[in-house]
Amino acid sequence: MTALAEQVTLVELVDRVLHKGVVIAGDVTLSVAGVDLVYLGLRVLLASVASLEEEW
Amino acid sequence: MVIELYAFACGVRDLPENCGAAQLGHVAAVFGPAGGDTRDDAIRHGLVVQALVDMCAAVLPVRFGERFTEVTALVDAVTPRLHELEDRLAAVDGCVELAVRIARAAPVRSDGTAYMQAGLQASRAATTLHALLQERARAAVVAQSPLLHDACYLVARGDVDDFAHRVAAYGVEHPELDLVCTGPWAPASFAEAAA
Repeated sequence: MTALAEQVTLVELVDRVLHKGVVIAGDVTLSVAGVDLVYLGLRVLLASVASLEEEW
Repeated sequence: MVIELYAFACGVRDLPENCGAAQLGHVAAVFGPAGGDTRDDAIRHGLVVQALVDMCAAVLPVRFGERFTEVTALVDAVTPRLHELEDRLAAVDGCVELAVRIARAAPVRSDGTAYMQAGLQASRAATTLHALLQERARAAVVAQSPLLHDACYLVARGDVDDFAHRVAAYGVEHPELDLVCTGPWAPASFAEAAA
């Protein structure tokens, strides 16, 4: 996996652990710096994958 | 020691490093030492959950930040929801999640009418793909999104390659779409019952 693809994957991974999944206590921490960028992240994802395809 | 809850699981064959499990009926609550609130901590949480996908028959990811002062506090908090969790685990058993996102490809220079028609065509193509993918998925969740399409599909592990190949083939057939399929992920989008 390229460094760019790895970064893209981590963006989605963080998005998922912050916004999806079972909630038990309800006092989930959402104050992680720099990750309230769901759709920005997705645009990066789309643009990055397109770039990767061009490289291949 | 404060502990962090990572996931609920069934059919646990192994656990990630430094993790433990509290067995509640058929459900294993997988936890580990609590970390901090940084991006790296969130990534670590996600990687543990992803590791569990290959170690368990069924995994229900828990959202980042669920912490308890001790295992008994975890058990007390989870026990009232045990039957619900068993049902959700049964629903995702043998499955993983694939995410499919579709955006309109960068439009070629054209007049307003052609631009609108191309947008309509792209929207229809996205809708058609969703219908095709739903037939190959056990369940789907469509997100509100500024994209043309943003959905997660619950797919049997054995069908993942076929599913991904169909998405890729559709992208080749429809150059008007920018199309991305990611996964397999732990089925976080299906962790809570639909409202």
